[in-house]
Amino acid sequence: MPINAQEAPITPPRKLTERALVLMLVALFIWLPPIVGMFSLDGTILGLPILFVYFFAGWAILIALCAVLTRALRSAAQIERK
Amino acid sequence: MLSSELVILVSLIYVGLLYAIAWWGDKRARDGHSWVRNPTVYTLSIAVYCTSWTFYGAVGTAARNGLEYLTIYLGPTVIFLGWWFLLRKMLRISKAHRITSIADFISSRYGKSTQLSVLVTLIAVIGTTPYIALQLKAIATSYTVLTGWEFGMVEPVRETVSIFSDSGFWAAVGLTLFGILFGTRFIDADEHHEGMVAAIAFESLVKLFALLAVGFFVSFVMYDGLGDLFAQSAENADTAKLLMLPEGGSSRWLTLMMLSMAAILCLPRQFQVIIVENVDERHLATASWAFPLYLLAMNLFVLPIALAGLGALPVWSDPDFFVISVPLFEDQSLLALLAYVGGLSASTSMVIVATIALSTMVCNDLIVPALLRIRPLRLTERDDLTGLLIFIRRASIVVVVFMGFAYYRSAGASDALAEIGLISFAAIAQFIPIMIGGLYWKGGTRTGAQVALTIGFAVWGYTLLLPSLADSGWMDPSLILNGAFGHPWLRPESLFGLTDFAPLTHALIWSISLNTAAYVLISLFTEPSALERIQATLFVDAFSRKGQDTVIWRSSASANDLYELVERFLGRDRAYQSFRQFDQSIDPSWRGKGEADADMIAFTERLLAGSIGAASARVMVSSVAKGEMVSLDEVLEILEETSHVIEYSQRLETKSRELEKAAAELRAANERLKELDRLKDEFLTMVSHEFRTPLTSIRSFSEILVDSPNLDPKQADHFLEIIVRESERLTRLIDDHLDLARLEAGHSDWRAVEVDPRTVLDESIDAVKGLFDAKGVVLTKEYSRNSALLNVDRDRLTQVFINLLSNAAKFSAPDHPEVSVRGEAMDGGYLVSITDNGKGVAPNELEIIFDKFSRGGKYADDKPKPSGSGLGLAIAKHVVEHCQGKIWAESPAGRGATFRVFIPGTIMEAIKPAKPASFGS
Repeated sequence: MPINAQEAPITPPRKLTERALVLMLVALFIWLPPIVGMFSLDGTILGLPILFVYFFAGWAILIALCAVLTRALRSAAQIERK
Repeated sequence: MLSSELVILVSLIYVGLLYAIAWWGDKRARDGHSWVRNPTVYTLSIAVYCTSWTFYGAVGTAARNGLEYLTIYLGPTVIFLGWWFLLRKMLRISKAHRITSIADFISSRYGKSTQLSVLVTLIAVIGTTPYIALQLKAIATSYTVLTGWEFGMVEPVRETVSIFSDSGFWAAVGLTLFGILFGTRFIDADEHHEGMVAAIAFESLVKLFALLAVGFFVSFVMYDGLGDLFAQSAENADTAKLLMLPEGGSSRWLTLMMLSMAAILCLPRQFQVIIVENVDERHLATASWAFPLYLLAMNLFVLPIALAGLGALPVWSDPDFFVISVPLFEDQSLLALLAYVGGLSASTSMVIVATIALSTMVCNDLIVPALLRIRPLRLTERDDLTGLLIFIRRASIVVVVFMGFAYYRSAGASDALAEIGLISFAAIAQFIPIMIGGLYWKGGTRTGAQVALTIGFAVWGYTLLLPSLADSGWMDPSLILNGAFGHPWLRPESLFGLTDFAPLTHALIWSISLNTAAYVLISLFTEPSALERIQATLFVDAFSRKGQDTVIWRSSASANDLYELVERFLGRDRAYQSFRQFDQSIDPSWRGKGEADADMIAFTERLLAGSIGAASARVMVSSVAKGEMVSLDEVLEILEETSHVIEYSQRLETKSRELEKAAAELRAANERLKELDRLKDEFLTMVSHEFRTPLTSIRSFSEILVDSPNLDPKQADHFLEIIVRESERLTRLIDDHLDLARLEAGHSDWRAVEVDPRTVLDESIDAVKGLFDAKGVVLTKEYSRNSALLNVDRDRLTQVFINLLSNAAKFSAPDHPEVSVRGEAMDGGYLVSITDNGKGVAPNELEIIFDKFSRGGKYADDKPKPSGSGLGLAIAKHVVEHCQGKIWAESPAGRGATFRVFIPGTIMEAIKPAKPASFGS
């Protein structure tokens, strides 16, 4: 059996992986009932409806966190590969 | 305002532009300067997820149900945020196994099963049909809205016009051609369609730009910013409720989230762009945040456009096409045209990728396995199959698109766009249990997966597709109302009496739960084959295994046979190039050798899997390679056995070493026992002898006294004196002996006290002073400045010193006897040396003298003096050793003997220097 040497398994530090999992679970948690229902409120923030701001601001924050985390995961994986 | 000629012309120019981009992308890739292989293009190609359902349908959903449209995009966001866990694993596995489609993926996991890949392909094709219909409807309707807005036309009139004047038909024809031109120009070994990916990425940019442009126009030209738009909407009760979630919509919300999460993983076209077209795992890392960002941008203005449309447009206008009708209403025909092009992008990109993905599946997993099974065709012996493969793929594209067209022509497409799309999603979601289970649970079996998929798909068809067809009037609605056989429990929209849910949720509850239950239960009660077990391990442990070649072929196949096989499926050039790469990297002489090795057979299978799917590749290779394969299980078994044997032999070795050691110990113990036995005999002889000497003299003198009553009283007195002295000696002998016995047995009393050895020495010297004086021995003594505190039995130590001193006196030179005593503190203890100036001890006796009954004096003229018991040194040795000390003798030839005693203790620093004292007698 030839061993495929091109890619050794990458295992970055466990902490980062756990953070990535938590990020996903948080996203799932805040976008599922009953939490979404809690923000279905009458009112505005900076002139925008609360629910609208809740979704898009939360979305943007999660994307930013994911970008930061992915960077860390990738550099950790690269270090490990060396 | 916009003539149909202009719209058609723009459409054609746009499609031509796409074609040019795709052609250019392919050319660059062939020249090796691919600009498709970067994370941005990869991310934009994933955005094929946003079809006309998003471009038009999301606005429609927003206009009906408010922010509910977001669920379709939040689900994929969750999956991409967790890319590290699911998508990365799928990608890794697919690369290792050269997976070409989702059917290939699932069938590979369950032992490269052909039946399973056929099943998955059928479900994928049927499930995608409504989705393609949706795109055709979107293209046709957007065209109608754009050209017929002024006449109040919102929908193409399908029933009355002939097929050829239906814009949907021409859309279908165009898309088919495009798919054929790009997806199936040649059969590639690795299934990358770089030109297609380039075109899709470009389309993703266009649709995003178009939607943002309409959004900006609505928010900042029609209204005074988003705040103004929302404020105006909040005043109207109808639009105000769209800003909040509908009451009691939790179950629908949950359903939609789950569906969209399943869709991004299982939709054949998403699998194609995310997994199959991926060239670098790092691109996925970038897409993990960039794709959600794209989705966010795409959705930002959906609600504002919907609110603006509801606020401004007449009630008869279809909310699904607000993106076009709002600009038209505002007399912005150019913007409307841009929106139309954006919608066209969204539709065409979906249809192109979906048809290419499906045609690959239909060809690899449906037609080719079927043809291979028809023996009279002798397909395995045909020369060139590349032409046949391309023909099958082209035909499948036509079939898939026109199935969608048929659905569109039927009234089944009369629903809102989103509702049609959701029917598709629900069908595709049936893959989820066996896919997720297959990735994380080794126990899932092929039978379990097949039954699960069949049940899930059947329930989907009965509870969702059937009612949708019945709505269109294609079948008797009484089945829907009354249930099959008129049984209320079999009503498709409230199966088994479950009435509390909307049709979509209801269908999903039953199909997914029955599907999962069947998968788990049947898997638990069926035995997987060896190949299934290998594949399960390879999939579940994708990250912990390095190897990708799972099966060793124990077979004979000639290298030329294999080469010809690949040539037939890949064509001459590609086969040559692939084999040359293999040849350079692994075996430089494959062609000359008749027999192919296992590596080469495995390589051939992988190569073929890339173009005709894993299941078919297996059949083809086994048609050439005669013999059987050794499964991983068998190899593992052999390995396990070997390692057991090794372990046993190692254990045996250890055992035998231990035994040897024990035997040696026993032998040594035996020797020692023998020696002890001998010593005991010797000892008894000696004791008897020692006791006998004084007894003999006592007895003989007593006899003389008894026999000679007239003995001279002076002589009699002398004899009595001798008798008394010998009796004393005998008593002393017995005392010493008892003492030694007690010491040896450890029964004697020890009264340990802290003493200064100098005091003890002085006392001992005082005790033997009489003896020394009588013999005229000159005694020198010298103590070091420091002393030590010894924790010993004072009387015993005195006994030792007296013994050594009297010995020294006894053996010193008779004419000028001299004895010196030295005491010094050193090395954590106190050393006493007693030296005489006699003949010394023979070197071979230096140790023996400490044994019982041994006496020094083996030098020729040295005759033993029977004055001592012969136990003194033995006792001294016991005492010293009891104090953890050491006693030994040194005797440089002819210079007397020195007996040294060292006893450990605490060194005491002298307060003031002690004067070396000496005295003589």
